[in-house]
Amino acid sequence: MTTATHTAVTTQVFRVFIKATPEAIWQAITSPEWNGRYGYGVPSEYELRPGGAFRARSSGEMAEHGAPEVLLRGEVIEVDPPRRLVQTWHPLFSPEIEAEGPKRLTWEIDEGPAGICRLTVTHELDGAPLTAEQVSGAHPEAGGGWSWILSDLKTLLETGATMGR
Amino acid sequence: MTDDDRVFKALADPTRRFLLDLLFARDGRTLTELESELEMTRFGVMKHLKVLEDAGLVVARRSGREKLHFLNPVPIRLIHDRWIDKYTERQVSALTDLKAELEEEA
Repeated sequence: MTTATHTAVTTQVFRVFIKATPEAIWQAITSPEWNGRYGYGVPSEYELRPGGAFRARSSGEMAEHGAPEVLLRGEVIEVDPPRRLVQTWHPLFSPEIEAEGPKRLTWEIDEGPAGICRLTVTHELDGAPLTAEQVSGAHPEAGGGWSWILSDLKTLLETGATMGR
Repeated sequence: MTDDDRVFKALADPTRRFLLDLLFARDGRTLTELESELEMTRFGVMKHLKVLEDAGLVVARRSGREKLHFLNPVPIRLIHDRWIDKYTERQVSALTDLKAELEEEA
């Protein structure tokens, strides 16, 4: 019954429930003192206004392994603290991945009952197969992508500890 | 029920695992598309999707007039970190210890 042609959906959606306030989650995403402490440990700066810059710098360890100084670049599109942040996300790990260009990334924080928030990350990855592989965690040797980052973010906010370091 | 309980319960059913496999193969499908892959009523598929959504394994998003279903791998990652890593680590370290002992004897 599905004879209609499917447009390939390339969007990836990741969701995690975190026992923390929306403000704490917002800070953990947007402040380099926090966002450098979980996942890949890359401090990321946000100019929190539409048109503002987003920039993530390589950790010391990554730089030693030849990663570029600026690992990710992007532009802030929409800011509604502590609920919604829309940005572009442009990885510069390699010339091939850089050539795929910036893609849209949306962070949504919804407050639920019992002090638990729902964080949903939507990454629109049309025309970016290499970026899609990286963020889906398809290359375990290169880390676990958004699943891993968000699990670690949850652990940091709920226990004060992280898995990797 | 804890989050882990909901995930294990959701994964304990072959139809629900099949739905996850379908979304793994191609993400962002409508109910109609998923239903066409199963010998089951629309209502039956909806019930299974609801269990998967409650466990956080599937996230439904609106896209224009359609509701698309996405596989959310994060709960499986959390189970992996909480359960699988712990036990495989012990096996690996047991083997590493055995290797060290045998090499010492040699």
